[in-house]
Amino acid sequence: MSRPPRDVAGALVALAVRLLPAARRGWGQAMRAELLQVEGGRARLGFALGCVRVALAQPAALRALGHLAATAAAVTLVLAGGVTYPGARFEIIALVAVLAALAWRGGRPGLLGPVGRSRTSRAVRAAGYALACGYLVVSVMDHRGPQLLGPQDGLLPGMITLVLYTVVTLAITARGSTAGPACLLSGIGAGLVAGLACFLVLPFERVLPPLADGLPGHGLWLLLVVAGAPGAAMVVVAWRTRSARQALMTVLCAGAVCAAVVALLGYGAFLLFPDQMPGIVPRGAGPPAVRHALSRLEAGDEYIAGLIWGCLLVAVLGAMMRPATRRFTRGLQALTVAGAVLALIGAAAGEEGAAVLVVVATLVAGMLALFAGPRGERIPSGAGGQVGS
Amino acid sequence: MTRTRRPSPQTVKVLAALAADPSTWRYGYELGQQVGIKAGSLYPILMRLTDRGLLEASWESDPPVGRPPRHLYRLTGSGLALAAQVAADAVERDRPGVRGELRSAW
Repeated sequence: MSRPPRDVAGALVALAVRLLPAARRGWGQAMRAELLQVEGGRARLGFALGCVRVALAQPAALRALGHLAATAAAVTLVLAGGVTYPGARFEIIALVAVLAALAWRGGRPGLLGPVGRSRTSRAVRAAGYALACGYLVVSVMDHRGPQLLGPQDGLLPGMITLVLYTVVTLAITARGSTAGPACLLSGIGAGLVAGLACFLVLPFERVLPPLADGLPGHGLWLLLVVAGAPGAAMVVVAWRTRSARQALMTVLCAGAVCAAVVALLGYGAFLLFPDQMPGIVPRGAGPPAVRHALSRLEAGDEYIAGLIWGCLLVAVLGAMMRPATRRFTRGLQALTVAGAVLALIGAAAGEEGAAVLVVVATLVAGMLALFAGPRGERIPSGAGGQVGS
Repeated sequence: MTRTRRPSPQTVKVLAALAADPSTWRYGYELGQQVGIKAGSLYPILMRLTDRGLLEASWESDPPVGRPPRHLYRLTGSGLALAAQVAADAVERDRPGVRGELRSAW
């Protein structure tokens, strides 16, 4: 078989073949073979440009161009949006790059994509993207101008959390995911209810009485909602799908969403009502603006703890999402679950430093288990999930 | 109720050219030259017709030595039926007193 001549037209058709999605690659080969029959430099160039046009008009290519445009727009927003502090600039641009790469992977066949066929999967993924974009916009708005606290801007924990949540959201809503629509819907719904209840019973912004204090019985019954909503969702999913894995994923999903809701409400309150928030640091800590920034950082510690638990649940969810067929993956799954239990014991015993280290190790093990698991696993019939690709 | 959209004028040309000799396999570039459609428009039409089961695509079985096999095209039974229907619609539209109603193209 002869190779196409190495001229501009040949290079353009080769480019078109590369740009075409895998399902259309045969058409690319047809174009390449056809080019050999086209005579005359002008006609060849016209034919080749037509082929490139065809490739660029494919939905996959348009999506890729959309990703590039959105990434460029986000980077421009960071650079032109007044984020002048170098550390914040670097962190936000790195976050944009990671999210753009994840969104790109989320559209391609594999662990993270493409999105499942059910409406629930699409809605959950769209909501995840919307939250990530919202976080980016808020980060940019929040880091404009000089940063009073320098490198202690609290951006990094949020970024790591966002990336972890995004990875698991993409994996759980991907076509090859074992999580069925019932699991997703019940888990997220229960997490939202439990998160709101949990936020109301926690001390508000760390130092103020809980918002539930004004409710009958000081709102202590809300604790039942915190524990009951995920439990009820788990039972419902177990009953509907007859699958222990679906039930487990539901309760993990509910816990992760609950933690995220608590953190979002806590941080959101400081962002939306800055003047009504408590001053936690002493008056001598600096000028009012610095004291306010420090108070916000201090108040956020409570919510950072919530986020850490959320990340831990996300790691366990990621690890348990795919059935382990290899000994290596089973080992990673066991390590993740053991790490989560150990972190819980460490935190309960007051060994917070050690608990955080265990959490970090658990996150790594969980993500490794997720990426090492089998791809496109089919779930048993009746489990209510999507069919793997 | 599903409404069958009328094919674009370019698709009509391709269908007519293929229906003129339905048993013969045709090459893409040659077909494009015959109907005056460039590659950028021709291939999407061929892809769509193939996706809808209206066009059969095949690779040359014995290409000359030193040349890669080319893609060949001909209408399927459904494609021929559509081509006939489109041709009949065109005749009907061209009758005096009948006004062609433009709809969105394929």
